[in-house]
Amino acid sequence: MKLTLEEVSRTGKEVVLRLVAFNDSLKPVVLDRRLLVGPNGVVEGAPPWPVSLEPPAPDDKQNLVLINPHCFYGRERTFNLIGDTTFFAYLVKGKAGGFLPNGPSEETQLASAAEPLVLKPAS
Amino acid sequence: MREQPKHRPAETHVASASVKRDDSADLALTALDAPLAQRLFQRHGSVPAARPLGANADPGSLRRSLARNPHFAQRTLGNRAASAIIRREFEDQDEQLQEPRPILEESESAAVTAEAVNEFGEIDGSIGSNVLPHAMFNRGQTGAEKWHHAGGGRGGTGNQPTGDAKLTAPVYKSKPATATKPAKAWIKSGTGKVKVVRSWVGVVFGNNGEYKHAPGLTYITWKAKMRIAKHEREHVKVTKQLHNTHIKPMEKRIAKYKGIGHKSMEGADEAAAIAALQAHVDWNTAVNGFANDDTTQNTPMGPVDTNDLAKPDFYFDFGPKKVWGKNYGHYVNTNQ
Repeated sequence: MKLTLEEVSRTGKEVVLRLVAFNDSLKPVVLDRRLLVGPNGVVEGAPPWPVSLEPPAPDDKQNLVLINPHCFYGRERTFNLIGDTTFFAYLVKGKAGGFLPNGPSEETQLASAAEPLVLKPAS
Repeated sequence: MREQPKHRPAETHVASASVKRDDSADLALTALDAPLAQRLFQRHGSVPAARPLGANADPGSLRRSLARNPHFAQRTLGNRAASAIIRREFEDQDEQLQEPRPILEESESAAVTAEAVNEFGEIDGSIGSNVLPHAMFNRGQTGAEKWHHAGGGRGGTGNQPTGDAKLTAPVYKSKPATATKPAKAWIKSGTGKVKVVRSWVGVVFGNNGEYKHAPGLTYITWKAKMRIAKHEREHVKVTKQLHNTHIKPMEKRIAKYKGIGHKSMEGADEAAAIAALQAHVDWNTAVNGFANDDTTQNTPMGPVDTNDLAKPDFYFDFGPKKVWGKNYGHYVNTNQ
């Protein structure tokens, strides 16, 4: 799985980001949407913003998404840029441990991470 | 009806004769002791675990006995009298009476402000008086407001900056050497105190107003509200540990040398005695150690934040959701 963070649009201080989980393999992949974390904004020196997740479905099976080769799954979030902000996103192997803004608390749980996206407010 | 015993002036005399230091307290005790002894004999005819009162009675023994049996004293003599007896017992043993103190437990950012220093360069950041020694006050949650990430300013934050402490630097007193005794130094009563208070503001459940980092309203679930409170308590808990590490041992060192009648540090002359005592207390090291470590631990995204975020039961922004017919951009809930 390949993760990417994309800036979709910007209006004033509002920026729309998309986290995309792309199946770059030639086999179908089952992705648990609860294990995809982000986008998480971090402003240096400021209290951390809450980490972004999706609400879990009541039925475990509903949390699983089949992604065929070269297809993708993702989510969109909008943020206010008031300072230089670095956005992170990652995919973990399981629910063990916690989720920090820039990665899982247990490094061994990391399955894939997006390239951090550094955004500056419009001047 | 029980027969009233005759007045026993001897007991009154003996009880008041034991009074030693602190004239104002002595007056109160003298006034209290006579009726105390009378009421004891009226109700019980004897005093538990104490020798009978009389010309040879040991009033110290009476007090010690009652102090060992505070519930008996309280039932027999009432709260005020029992309190006086127990207080007196502490004084007899040269121990310092301390107010009941809450057990510590919090915070957000800065360092101890050294408003001034004493003549020895020791930090004196006291803002007020009436501070108590050996105390870290956990005032807990002082209220609930909208979340600081959303429509509120203080919800989910500490009331005190990290490293905050109110200081009353030690004032050193000394006595010159004589032909037979060395010079002595001690710490003036009422000085050498550190007061650390931590409290925090919780968040409200439900609509917390516009999210600050993105468009949309914020909804905080009950579970997330409780988890945010737990996080604030984590900050307090760590501050308490640091208080125990840095401040408490120093307060114990100070207590031994505080006030007349306590231990004193000896030296060839007054300056040497004071210097030795100052080195023993090591005020600045303890105060700076506490302030620096408290700031390091509790600063945003410091160890307390990252350790807590690493726990699986932390709260998250689950994105847009409709709750009770209202659209929210940020549904904040725990992941469990």
